[in-house]
Amino acid sequence: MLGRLSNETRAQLLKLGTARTYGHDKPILEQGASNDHVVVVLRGTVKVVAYSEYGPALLAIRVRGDLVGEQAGIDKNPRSASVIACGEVLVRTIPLNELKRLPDVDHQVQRMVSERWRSSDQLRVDFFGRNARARLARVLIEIATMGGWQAEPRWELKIPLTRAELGSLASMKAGTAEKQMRLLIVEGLVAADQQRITLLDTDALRLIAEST
Amino acid sequence: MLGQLRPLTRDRLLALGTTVVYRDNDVILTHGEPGDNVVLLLSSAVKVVVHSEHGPTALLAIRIRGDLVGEQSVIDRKTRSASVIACGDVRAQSIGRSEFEAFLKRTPDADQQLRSMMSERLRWADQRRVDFLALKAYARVARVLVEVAKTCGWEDEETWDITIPLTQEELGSLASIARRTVEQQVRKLIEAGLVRTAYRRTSLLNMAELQRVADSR
Repeated sequence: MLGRLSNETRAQLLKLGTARTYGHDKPILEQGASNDHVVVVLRGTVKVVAYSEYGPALLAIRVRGDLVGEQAGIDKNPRSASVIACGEVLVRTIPLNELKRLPDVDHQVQRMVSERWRSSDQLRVDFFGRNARARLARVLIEIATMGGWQAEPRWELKIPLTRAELGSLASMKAGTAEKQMRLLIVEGLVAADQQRITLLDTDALRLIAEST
Repeated sequence: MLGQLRPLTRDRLLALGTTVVYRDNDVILTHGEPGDNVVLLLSSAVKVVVHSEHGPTALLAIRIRGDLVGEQSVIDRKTRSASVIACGDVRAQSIGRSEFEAFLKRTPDADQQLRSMMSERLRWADQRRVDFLALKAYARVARVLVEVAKTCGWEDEETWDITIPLTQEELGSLASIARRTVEQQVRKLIEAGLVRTAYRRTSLLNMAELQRVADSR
């Protein structure tokens, strides 16, 4: 988001709202809440998590420069998911009506909603008809290349992720994610020390992600 | 979309573009093409589908009379992310990009409504992913059937008829379930007396019970 704005507009945007710092695991936005400010991530990484009676589902990871929390402001429904700090996070929280005063930003937000909807649909298409192994490989590659990171053949993921979280990104149960991860580790494609994950062969993982 | 607008705004929107009529199975918008227009549906229903090289065609959504399709590309300037196929004879208003953008600019309530709609569609798409993790295949199939019936079904006494022909594969892609599994789950629903299928028609015989199944773990 920030990367798409002109320097001038970006400077204007960053003067709005309030700067805030959140410690690891602290909620930045809470599911069900009826407020409508948006959050621009300035440093660190956040997780977008939807809780249901069945447990948490990690929907997305957003990084520095991304904007989150725009849905509630736009459609006036309660927050559909929580946003949780992953490590220490610096953000700017901005009331929606202030944001609307910058037409360029307003327009970019609308584009962003469209693109997020697109990629949510695209995930459903890509996952439909693909097995768990391919889905997991795809999610690993996506995390590795997030926010413009250039994944080298050997690449450590910047975010600690549980098996259950990997599973929810890849639409599979935690147990299946565990099993598929173990396979990738045995094959020497991935190394994992608890929640720290290193991809050992991103090219091979890309091939698996494309397989059916 | 249409139903949410003020009457005056609705009339203005309906005055835009040109009326087009599509026959059953006609392609209204094509996946991969640039998006130079939006289409406002005035009758019948359409399927939003993605044909993929790696696997079965995925049905992403059903849209009906009053809905707008094709706005994604107009807003984010990327190529069409899916095709839109007529389901029965469809009358629609095709509105060019620049005409539509000018309309949004001078009609703030329509602009707000469009944003709201897009945001809600994103919520819906994300919710499907949460459902996938939380619910068993049986519940997911029931959930999708209830949703489709409420979008484009007819209620007659206790029975809801879905008159849009839906293959089990399409049902499966709405619920993110492989075809074979859908067949099994639909059979279970039929045996439980909750659903009846006939040529080009699916009937939900007990909405309350289906709703309960849809919410079960």
